[in-house]
Amino acid sequence: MTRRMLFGFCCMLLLLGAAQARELKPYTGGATPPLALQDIDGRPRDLRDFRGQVVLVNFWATWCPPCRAEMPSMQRLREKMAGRPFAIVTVDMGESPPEVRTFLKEVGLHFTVLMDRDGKALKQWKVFAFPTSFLLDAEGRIRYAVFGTTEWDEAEAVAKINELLPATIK
Amino acid sequence: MLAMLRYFTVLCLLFCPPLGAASAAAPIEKSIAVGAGVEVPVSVFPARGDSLLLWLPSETGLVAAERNAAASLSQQGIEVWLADTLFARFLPILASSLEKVPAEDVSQLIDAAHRETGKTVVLVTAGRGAVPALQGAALWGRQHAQHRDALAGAILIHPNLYVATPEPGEDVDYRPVATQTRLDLIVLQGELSPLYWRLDALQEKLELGGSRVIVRTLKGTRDRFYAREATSVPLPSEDAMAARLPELMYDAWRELRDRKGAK
Repeated sequence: MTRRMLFGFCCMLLLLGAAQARELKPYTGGATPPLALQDIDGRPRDLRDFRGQVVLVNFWATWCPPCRAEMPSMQRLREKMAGRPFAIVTVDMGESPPEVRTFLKEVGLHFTVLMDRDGKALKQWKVFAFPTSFLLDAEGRIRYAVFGTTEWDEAEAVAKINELLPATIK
Repeated sequence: MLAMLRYFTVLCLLFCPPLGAASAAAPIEKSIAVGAGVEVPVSVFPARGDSLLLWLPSETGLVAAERNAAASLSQQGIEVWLADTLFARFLPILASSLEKVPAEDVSQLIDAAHRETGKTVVLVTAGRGAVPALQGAALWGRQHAQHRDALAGAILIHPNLYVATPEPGEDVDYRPVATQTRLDLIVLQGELSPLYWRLDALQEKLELGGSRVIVRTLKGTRDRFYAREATSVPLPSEDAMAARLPELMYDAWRELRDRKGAK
């Protein structure tokens, strides 16, 4: 029994060591897929409408603990980047507007939320884990991507976003 | 009189275990030799029926909810063996450890389960546990081509057969075993999971190898729905589904049995 408990304890330590935040990596996939969905209020939205801005596209769901964990840092990032050509577009996976609205209100978040009710966008963007985020330049090209929790308002992520801002803004 | 009633109540609370646990007999602990110096600890929940569920660990090991389900199933006539293939090789409870479980270990376990009891075996596992389970089943099938019916199939709970989680925008690669498996399979997948959206691709892969696949989606549940960490976001729908684990397994087993009978 003691041997088993010791074994379990060692496993816990290994698990804790393995739980590390991931960082944005240069994107190696293909061309930017389309993203045209209804937003949380039922209005049709298209990623092309954000052309000219650096865009953070984030796939998430309210039931996903890592997604929830990184959202406050996204809100702080949004505030930090106020007045610059930067936008956050989140894509909720398969939930209903009331479920999402409750969470946004509870945490005090103000993002554009698109509703991917049938997983079409998830498949087109080749998303295999939540959260998954893509950073697009002002021309709409995906430049960086990451799956897993990120601290969006920390220097490393902010530097990558600044690097993508149009030269006239920097 | 009132004092006697109180005394009786206290005696009942002290000596009668909680309902549910009351009739669940303690498992028989034994070990199965699967190789030179390797012994797999197995908790046996015996039953009189002619079926045996061989439950193998996932990336969360073998958890309390699985032991409870095993106890419940044994009371319904299905024998359950919980075989800790990770502990047998002193592997930590991690997804990567499952890669190190030899197919031979699982094949030997299937063999022992059938040989010792004469019962028809059904494999059960979750998540990445599907990789060693199916590899073992494929090896066993090659070694026992004459009596393949001894292995009736597998119940896979949110199986993950990816080589690795692809980077965003990359295509997914499946483990070769996905297309090398020829078994009757029941896949149970919670709808609150990225895996849910890839069920059609998984089914297609599994059917390429000749497997017959039944997919059952579980509403309002995530992966590891019966073994979530205490820090996770609580979902009442998930708690309700977790409480139904024995029933889900029983239904899946019955579906496999009916399908075998209809062959």
